[in-house]
Amino acid sequence: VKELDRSGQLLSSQGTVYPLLNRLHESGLVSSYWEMSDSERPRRYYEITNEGRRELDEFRNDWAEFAGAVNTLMASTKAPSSESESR
Amino acid sequence: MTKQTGQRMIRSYLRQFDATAAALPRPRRALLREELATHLRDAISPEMSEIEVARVIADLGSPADIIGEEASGAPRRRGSSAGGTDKLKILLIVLAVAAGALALFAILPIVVSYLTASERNLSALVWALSAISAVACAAFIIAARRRSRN
Repeated sequence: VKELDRSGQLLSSQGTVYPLLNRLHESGLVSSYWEMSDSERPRRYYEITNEGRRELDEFRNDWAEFAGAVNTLMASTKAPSSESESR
Repeated sequence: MTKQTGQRMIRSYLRQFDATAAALPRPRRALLREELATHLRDAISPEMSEIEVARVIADLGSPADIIGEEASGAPRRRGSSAGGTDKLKILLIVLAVAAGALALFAILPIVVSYLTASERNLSALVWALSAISAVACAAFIIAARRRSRN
């Protein structure tokens, strides 16, 4: 959660990860289990499922294609000059 | 800071959560509350100052933010990120139809020389209908696959 939060763009706050995890859980992309201990409160752990891994691989491929296409497009597009921006 | 102060701040946060989350179904509300409470109890230690605890609570986000995220998201269906793959399939089908059409045009002069005028018109019509049917079938198959995913 801290890592996602540090990225600055992916979570509006750390707590919003729990609704996201719940959606992944409902979609079967992660599983969860509770661990009980005498000294602490019950704790919920999440684990990616095989289907989640497949979805992740597919997303990685889609993302690489998409990012490559956008990068190519941006590289071929001239950035506006400071002169035109000031007009 | 005393342990009691940290506990008091956590309780205050959870009270705000209870007030905000009333619209959520009871089982989901209880689960989310437990996760937020565990998050705070893990992140807050008795050695922390009141400012540090306030920072941890701020990083967690307001209950309204979290409930908003909970309420905004219809569950994402399996395979929902496969849009790119479907686009690739459509592209491949269009390319296949175009390649077929080009191949047909390449042999057309040879075939046409053996046909009468009315047979030429008929074959052009058949070719156009075949191309439209191929595209329509492809669109139907993709739409059916999307419906079955949802």
